Amino acid sequence: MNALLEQFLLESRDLIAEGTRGLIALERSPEDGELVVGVFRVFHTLKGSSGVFGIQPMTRMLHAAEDMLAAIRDGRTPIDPALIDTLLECLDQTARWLDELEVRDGLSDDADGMAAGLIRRLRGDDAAATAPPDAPEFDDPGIFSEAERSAAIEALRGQAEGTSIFRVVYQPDPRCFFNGDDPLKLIAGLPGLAALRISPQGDWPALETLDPFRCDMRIDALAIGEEAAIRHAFRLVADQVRIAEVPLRALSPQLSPGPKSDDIVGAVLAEQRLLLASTDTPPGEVAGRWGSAAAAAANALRYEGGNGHAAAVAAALAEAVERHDPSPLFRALDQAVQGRQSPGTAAASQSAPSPPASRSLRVEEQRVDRLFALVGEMIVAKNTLGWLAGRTAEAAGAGDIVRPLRDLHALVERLTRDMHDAVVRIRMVPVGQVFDRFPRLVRDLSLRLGKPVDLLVEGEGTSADKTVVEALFEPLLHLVRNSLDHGIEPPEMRRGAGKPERATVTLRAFHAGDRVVVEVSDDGGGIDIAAVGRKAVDSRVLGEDELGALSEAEAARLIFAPGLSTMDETSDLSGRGVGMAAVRMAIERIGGAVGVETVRHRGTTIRLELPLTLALLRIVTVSARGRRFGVPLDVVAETIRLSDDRIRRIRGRAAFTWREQVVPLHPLGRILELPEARDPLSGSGGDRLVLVVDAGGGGGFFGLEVDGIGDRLEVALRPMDGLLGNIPAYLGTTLQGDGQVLLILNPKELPP
Amino acid sequence: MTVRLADGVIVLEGDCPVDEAEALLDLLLANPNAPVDWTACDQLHTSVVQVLIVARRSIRGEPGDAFLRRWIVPHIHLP
Repeated sequence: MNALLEQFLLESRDLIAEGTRGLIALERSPEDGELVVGVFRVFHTLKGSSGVFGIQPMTRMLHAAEDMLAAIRDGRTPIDPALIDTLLECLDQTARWLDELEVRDGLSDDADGMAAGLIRRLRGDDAAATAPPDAPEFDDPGIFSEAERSAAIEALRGQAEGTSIFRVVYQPDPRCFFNGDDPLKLIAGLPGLAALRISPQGDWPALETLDPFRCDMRIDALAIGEEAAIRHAFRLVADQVRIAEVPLRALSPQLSPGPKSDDIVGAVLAEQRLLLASTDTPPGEVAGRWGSAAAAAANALRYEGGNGHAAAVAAALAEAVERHDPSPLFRALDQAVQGRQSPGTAAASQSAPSPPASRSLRVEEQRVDRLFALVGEMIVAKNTLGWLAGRTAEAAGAGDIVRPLRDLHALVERLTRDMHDAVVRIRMVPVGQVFDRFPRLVRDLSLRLGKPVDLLVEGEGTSADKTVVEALFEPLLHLVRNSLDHGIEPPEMRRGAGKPERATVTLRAFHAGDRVVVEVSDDGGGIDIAAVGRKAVDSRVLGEDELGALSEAEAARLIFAPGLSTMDETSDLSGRGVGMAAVRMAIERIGGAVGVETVRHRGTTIRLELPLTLALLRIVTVSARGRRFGVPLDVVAETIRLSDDRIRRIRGRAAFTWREQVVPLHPLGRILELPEARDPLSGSGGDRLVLVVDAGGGGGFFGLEVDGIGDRLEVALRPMDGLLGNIPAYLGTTLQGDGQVLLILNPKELPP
Repeated sequence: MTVRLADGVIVLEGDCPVDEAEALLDLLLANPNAPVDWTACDQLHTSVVQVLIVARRSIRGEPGDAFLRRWIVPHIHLP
């Protein structure tokens, strides 16, 4: 992919996120002029860049959206949810197109249709009503194909002066056939017809319901000629026709004669100059408009390699903003235009001092991931070195080599750890990346459910490892949906309970020690803990007596148990009660923990505690029935040897007493259903090796019987993905010193 | 007669005025698989064009009239 396109994709995605945020905020505070300007700038910059890349449908659609925003800004069009919806869809569509561009360097065939559909929706049915009587619609040249538009421009050449291209919109009276009108015959008689579109006024009816005597058409045409002649052709139906001259520029800046890339850039530059010169910019929006003009111009210049000019434009913007005077920008744009015409000056300005470039560096994720994988392999090599040093020490007569080897091992160990830390830090991204997707989601859900909800986002700048942040989306999605669907009461119920009708859902992130905490809170009805308990007993998650022994907080945690749903009905939103268990498992898989706080009628907070980074994991290797596994050391409370006489049978199950509590004993080989191996070491009649594991989450301890216990290692964990990602018994894998893959167990999920 | 059925094909001939729209519609509905042949067609009233656009029926031949060929064919063939 070309580097400029890459940059464009990156920037555009940021802009889309910004625009989405802006639109949602705008829906809540339609009077906020700054928001309108911000959103306008997003659309304008997107449009400008898409023009540079010749992505016509995108440019047309964004152009129409920009017009709409200009109308909002000038108070000509009110903001309503439907309009916000359409503008959001424009951004969605842009995002989809960006994805298409990234994958196959082009848009799908239906792009023109999609763009036209959105443009129609943007204009709305009332567009005709709000437009002044004879208002032209030449700002939608998109309804004509590129070929038609260039043909029209071509046809205009060599015509006498006084001829122009005219846009004709003819909406015949439905009863016109009865008056003897033949609309297409009028069109056929039009001088200089250059393009014709016939579309239904609403939708075409089915053939069975078609009334052949009712004219259901709308006719769009481009005609070249003198205005008087064209108006004359329609003199009998003047009330049904709108005619207006089309400025060439509006037909498409990309379509200036000779579609050379130079001219595209030239057209973009010219358009930015026009934008700067326009005097209708309300004060207070000026800076934003300069910014978008400069960005579009700089992108266009970079496109053809004019980095020097692009930098000059950027510098001029800073100067213009500082001086509240656009003239530096004008000068920079003009210089760029001149420079493009004479390559000599371009070279001169290339060497012009560019602004200090010490900003952050944008790097493809894959490159960092590659680095991360390499560091992981270095850690493996380092572990091998340790193993080698150990073996050398065992060998006799190697005394003078052992010490330097150990020193070297210590050094390499420190270096790899530092390096791992450094790489991990590169991968730190703000959780805002995930939070950003929620305002839109909450807005749509709240409309669908008829529950007005405000989303508060706090601590979106809190950062954590990319993998952790990415893994957050699905659990959060589930929690937020749950809050809206089940947590928050319908407005009338809230009113009855003396609560504000608008509910609040809060997404909050903060650092706590070496963990990052993400909370989803709502001020809804809270969890009916008694109902959860009943349900748990009914679904045999636990016994009546066990339930009685639980504290409220412990009982609330039952929502995370598999197979529990507190709602009697499932809805299409929140699924079927496997949800909270799935959330817990997803979070535990990346080394996190879940918690819940709930107060009846006050609300619920679900707390996710996650590791900041996928730091090195300390494990101990164990063997069972001839296979080796890793067990994270942080869950191992103690490693003990048990003689057979300490093992008791309770209700047919093996258990032992440890620190004055009865702990169930599970042989690892049997849990994993490993085939029996004729391992001479196992069952040799000696003491049993048992890891006492803290099951966490109030689950108490259990003993994990293994055949052997090996080295303690620091490893870089690779999470399981694909099909394997759904096996709860494993946290992931790591490469061993000898190149073999070691499976890391998730002991919390092991007991049957 | 400018709209007629011949050998399972709906044929448009000469000048098709507004009244023919209903006749064409009736033929199209009565013969859901019949293609339309407009080779011999000189002029089509808007109402007839509208029926053809809505019908999305397969069309044979090219009409004699230049306006129809240049401007209406794309709308018929690409409904």
